[in-house]
Amino acid sequence: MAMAADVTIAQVSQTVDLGELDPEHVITPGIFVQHVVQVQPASTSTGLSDTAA
Amino acid sequence: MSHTSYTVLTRDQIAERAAQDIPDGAYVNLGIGLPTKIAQYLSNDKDVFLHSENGLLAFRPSPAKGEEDPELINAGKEYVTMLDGGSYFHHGDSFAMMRGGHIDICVLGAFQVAANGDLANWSTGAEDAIPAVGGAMDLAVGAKKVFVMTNHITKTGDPKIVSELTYPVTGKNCVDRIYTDLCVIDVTDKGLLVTEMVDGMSFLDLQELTGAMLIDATQ
Repeated sequence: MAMAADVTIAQVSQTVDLGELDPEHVITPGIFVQHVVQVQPASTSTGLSDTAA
Repeated sequence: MSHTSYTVLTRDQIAERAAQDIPDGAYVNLGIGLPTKIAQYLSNDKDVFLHSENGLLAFRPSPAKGEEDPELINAGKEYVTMLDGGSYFHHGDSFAMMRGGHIDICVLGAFQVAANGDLANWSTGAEDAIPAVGGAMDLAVGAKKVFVMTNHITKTGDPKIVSELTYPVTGKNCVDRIYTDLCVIDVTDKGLLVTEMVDGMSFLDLQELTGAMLIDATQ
């Protein structure tokens, strides 16, 4: 989908430093992504889980 | 007709000049041949992501002698090194980047560029020539901006910037800017605008070496 869109916003649970992603493991290269938004996964949100994060 | 003496740029100087126009954050494909020299002149304070057709993103040229990885080459069959944050992908995805308008700038060589931006760089029409067009046609129509890096005239003194192509076309109306060893030309609706010339070059002399009408935009 990212290839087909003019603008791609990637919602991610985790960001890492450059070099931590193995080049062979990248599925969607950054050329297709214009914005990255980091959002905590639901299981660590307050009120949705009975265990502390 | 005056014939002042002018300084012809070297290939490295053309590359250095073209590199200045590549902005921070750009995704760039450098075509095989002259354009690959541009990589050496990209300043370190700019993030420029080089793309290679065979499936590399974010690489830099030339590992140190003895440290070449025989399995890591670019589309021009040159050894390269990957930068942190680089990625590998297959040809389909690579050409999707090119044809899908995701490459900001491609820099290509040329046999000829026509006044309307038509580009011929894959064949001189010679019968026994290997039809090695590579990804040039895809880059020519797919990249957001197409720069051409070329000598102004052929070894036999013929102009390479012409009013109409005589060689087989790579792409139509696709060239945005031409960097030669004598000048820089913007290809526009109004025509070929000469924005820079080498020291000692007069506009008339430049026009004489060109096979299409030029417009002096150096002021």
